[in-house]
Amino acid sequence: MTLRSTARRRAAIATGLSLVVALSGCGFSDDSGGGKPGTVTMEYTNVSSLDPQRVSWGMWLDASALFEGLVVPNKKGDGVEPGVAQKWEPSADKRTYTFHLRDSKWSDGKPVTAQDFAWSYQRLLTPSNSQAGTTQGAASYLPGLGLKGATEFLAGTLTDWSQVGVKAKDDRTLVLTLATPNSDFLLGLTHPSMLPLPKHLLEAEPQEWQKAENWVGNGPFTLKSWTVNSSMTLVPNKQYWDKGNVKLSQVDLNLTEDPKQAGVHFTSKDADIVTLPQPDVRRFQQDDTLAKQLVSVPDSYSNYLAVLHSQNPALEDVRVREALALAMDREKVVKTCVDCRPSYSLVPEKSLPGARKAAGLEEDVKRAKQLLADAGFPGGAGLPQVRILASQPNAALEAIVDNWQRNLGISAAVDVVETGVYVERREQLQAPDYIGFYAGAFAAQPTWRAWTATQWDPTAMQVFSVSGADWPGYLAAKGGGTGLAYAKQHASPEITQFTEQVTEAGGEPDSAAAEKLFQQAARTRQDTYLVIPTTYVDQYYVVRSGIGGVDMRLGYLLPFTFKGVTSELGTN
Amino acid sequence: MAEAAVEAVRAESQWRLAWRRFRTHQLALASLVLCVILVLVAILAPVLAPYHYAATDYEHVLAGYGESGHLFGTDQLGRDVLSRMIYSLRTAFLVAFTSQVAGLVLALAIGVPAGYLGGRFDQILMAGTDVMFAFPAYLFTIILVTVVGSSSWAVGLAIGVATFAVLTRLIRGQLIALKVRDFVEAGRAMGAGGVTIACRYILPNALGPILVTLAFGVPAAIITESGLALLGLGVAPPTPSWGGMISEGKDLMLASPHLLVPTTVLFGLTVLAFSWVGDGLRDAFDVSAR
Amino acid sequence: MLLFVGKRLLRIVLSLIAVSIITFLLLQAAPGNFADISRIISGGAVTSDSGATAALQSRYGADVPLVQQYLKFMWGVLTLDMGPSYKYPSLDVEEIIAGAFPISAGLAILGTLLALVLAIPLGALAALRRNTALDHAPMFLITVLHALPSYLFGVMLVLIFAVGLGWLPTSGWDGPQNAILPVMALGLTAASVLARYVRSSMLEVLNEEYITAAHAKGGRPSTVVMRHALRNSLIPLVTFTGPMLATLMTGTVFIEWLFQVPGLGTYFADAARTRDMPLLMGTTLFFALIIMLTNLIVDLLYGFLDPRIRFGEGGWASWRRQRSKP
Repeated sequence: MTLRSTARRRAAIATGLSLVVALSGCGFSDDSGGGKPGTVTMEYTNVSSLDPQRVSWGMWLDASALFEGLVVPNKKGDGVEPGVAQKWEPSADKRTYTFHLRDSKWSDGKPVTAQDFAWSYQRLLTPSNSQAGTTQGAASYLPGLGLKGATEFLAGTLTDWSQVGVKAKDDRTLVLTLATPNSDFLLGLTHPSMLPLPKHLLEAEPQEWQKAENWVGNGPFTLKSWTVNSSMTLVPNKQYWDKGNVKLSQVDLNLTEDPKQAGVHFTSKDADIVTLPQPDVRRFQQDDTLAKQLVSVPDSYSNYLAVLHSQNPALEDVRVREALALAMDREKVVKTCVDCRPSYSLVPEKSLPGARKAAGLEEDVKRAKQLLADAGFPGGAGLPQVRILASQPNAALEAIVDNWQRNLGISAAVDVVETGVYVERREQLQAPDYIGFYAGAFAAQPTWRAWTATQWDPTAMQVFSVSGADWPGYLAAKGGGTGLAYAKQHASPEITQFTEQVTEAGGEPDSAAAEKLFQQAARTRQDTYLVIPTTYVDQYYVVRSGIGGVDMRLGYLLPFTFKGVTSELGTN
Repeated sequence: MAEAAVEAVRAESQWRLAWRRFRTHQLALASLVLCVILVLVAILAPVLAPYHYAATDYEHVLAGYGESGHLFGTDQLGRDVLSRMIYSLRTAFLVAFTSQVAGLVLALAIGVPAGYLGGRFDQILMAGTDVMFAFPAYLFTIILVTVVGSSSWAVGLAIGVATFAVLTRLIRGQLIALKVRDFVEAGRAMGAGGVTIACRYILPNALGPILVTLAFGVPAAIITESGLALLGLGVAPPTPSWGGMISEGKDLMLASPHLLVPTTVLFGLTVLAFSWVGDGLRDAFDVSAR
Repeated sequence: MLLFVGKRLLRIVLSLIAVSIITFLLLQAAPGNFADISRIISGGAVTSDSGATAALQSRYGADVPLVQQYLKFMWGVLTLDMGPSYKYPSLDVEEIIAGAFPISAGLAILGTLLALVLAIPLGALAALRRNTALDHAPMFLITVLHALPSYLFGVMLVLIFAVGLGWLPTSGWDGPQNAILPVMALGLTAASVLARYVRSSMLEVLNEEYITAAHAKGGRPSTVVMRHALRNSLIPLVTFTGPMLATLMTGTVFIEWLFQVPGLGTYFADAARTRDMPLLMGTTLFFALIIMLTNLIVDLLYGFLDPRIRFGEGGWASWRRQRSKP
């Protein structure tokens, strides 16, 4: 009796205690706008950092709400409008730009100065500041921008900051100097890595500056609260110079790890703007009410296959690569996904008309078979199994290998591996029985220059063109920090030509002539078939009726800014 | 020696008795029949499935129930769902049985000595399983899968190794609880040695919970595989596995429910069938003539 | 008993060290590293700028020998200052754990309580009224719950209660209403497993000879049941519930993903995927500690509930007696 009641008493105490513990530890954060007029709830991919100089989802959020750069993209996304810089003038040789900053303030009242910009760019380019992605993504846009001395300073070969083309002449004048003229320069300045950071805050709180209680920014919104891995709340920045044009009273972001649930969250009214995952698109299109709220951004992503380096030289023969590119049967492949379209050119046709003719390919199974035979693999005989290395299962890739097998008689398979394995395998020299490509995707760029000089640019293409025999040398050089130089030296002749064409195009001051030269370079690149286009993906969003001002534009992962957005939700 | 003979007779009739009891448990019996059917279907998959599991048909992608000759429709590549379900049974059983066998072997090897001998030995072994318990199974599975591959065997082995700690603890617990019982004292008094006591006296009496755990282990392994597939570590495509089909199907759940519903029903039936068999086994071994 | 606990704590410390070494080695052996993975996941440049390789290596500690990296981190564990996570550089690992663990633990505890509240009466009833409708029907229902993996079950709960009926939110973490569906998903699936254990354990006990003896003594049936059967059938339950609770606490990843709950499971799965060394080591060690402490508590409870264990060979009270022997 005693034992039982003691045990029961203990059980009761334990239960009570655990209930208390459970409920007290919960840490609820109740700051949802809950549909009040002028609020918007958006489902957003989880963000781990709000540092715009670090390649992560957070940098796009910085660009669309929390910070403002010298210039901002216009509505269509093909030009710029004044941001912090009120006006600017280029020099006669188009190499130097002088920006005159307006009288604007950080959210804590301190003025935004040219020194803030200069300090931020120095932080971006300082090699020892490198966080994962700082110099391997965000700052790699700078060579595309062409700031004088930027690449050298980043590589560590130039250590004197005063030699770099970034100068704050006084509090409100910033002078940026380019190595060569760049017609895309102003558009490039809208990239998140070129946003200013509050020098005084980052120096005071180098680790804690991203916390909501410390937050200082100069964008139309500031960070009110951030529950990591769960939600974020933004409120209008009272110090913003154009606050009259900020029409929302609050923005709630639901941070999600599983973007596939977005459709459900929209229909249950837990979010008002979501990125719609591909499986739900058809369902939404078939419903009248939902279809009205559907918005698509064409050519948001380009899917491609990039060649892997192997001990087996089979894929080093351009004929084999071309054969595979021509026998893919892309029309069949896109039947597996409702939001994708065939891609015949690395530069998308829809956003840059004429691209397919200028620098694309034409499918031709007969020719592909001939090429394969010419290369020494008639009917596929003797060719090892062609693999596609991917980090996630993908129906389109399965369709591609299927079509290869059917059209060319070869053996092909998709190799799905875990992310870390994928990352490591991509760089390795593959075994003698393993040849193939890795599957990747890249977000759209707005101009010819961007598609040629920034994405699959000469540096990247040089690395791709290094032969299997030279690859171990490249890896060794990379470990010692001279990988890119090695690649340049060992690049194929076609890619060397591509490099020269891009350099020539980059230095051409007349933008029409420059575009022609870029197209020529893109054609050279396409004909190497080192990178093969597969499909384009249109990104679909759903925007609830009652929300206006969401101007979707091409070229960014979050293609609209919150500044012009209006909301009538919650009025009923 | 006479005692040994009596023991043998007793043991035999114990099993007979158990079977007789099992037979009266209707649900368990029906489930056992179902399990046998499922295993047969898995073995006979190439004969029974109307299409090959990797046969694609781009003209009929995401067909619904009964469309174009596909009873349960097709998936995103136009592959027949019914055929993939049948083959996926095979994958499921491969994974589950491999994992249970691997787990049982490890658990017996560690749990029996630990429970029976106790003392220092027990401590060391239990510390070892504590470590296994706390393991980041994800990392461990990646390494194993990288080394051995993502075939059904490899995934089954990985699951078995990652989860044997629970069974070990159970076996050890049973050993501890049972070794203090009177019949063990009696056995010792009759002069039986350690191994005999462990194997012939204690283990048969521990069989109930072990069998129940194994019967549960089968569906647990299948569920674990589906979790691994969500993380990208399941059996590699195009081999159909329930994990892969469910994780694909749940994304298209509202648009194309035929991808998820039949598979989930089959999945659930298998899990239930094995669970009820385990139930029946448990009841059957419970009442012994003692 | 103190000696028993003391020895177990020592064992726990040693085990934790073993776990830390194994995890660290596994991390090194696993393909991929943090810098490359996050670059490629976030869609960064195709090739890496080799000029910054050295700086990166220094930042992520790869420029010092492995042993030094390991020791440096372990020192951080002892001083409770494990440094920032690679992926969340504005948060220290101990900060992350302190903030997120109560959430995961809360869900797990509530889920377990729900499971116990459902499973014990159901299982006991099923055992008492064995092979009748009261046995088969509830057990059938509850076993059907077991047939679904918990995330699938969670998805269905969302569809029914959040989308279909609109009673509850689908996701987020703003208030207690957000905890209901996750707890249900966890608790109901756990309940199904638990109920079978309660039932089978009760059945075993009900056939014990002392129950028969108690009947023979003429005690009222309900007293007999409650006093002897329930108490003794709790023992295997304790063995099972403890680890189950620990598993729930450490294994809520899918539920957290589905419901956007900022728990520790998400951090852990992420850290493993991105090879975020400090966060992975920190959370693994923490989870290991939780699991081992739970096992210790289970063993102590074992003894409270069953004197034979307490005083038998290997039990914790027998330590004292053995040491007092000449």
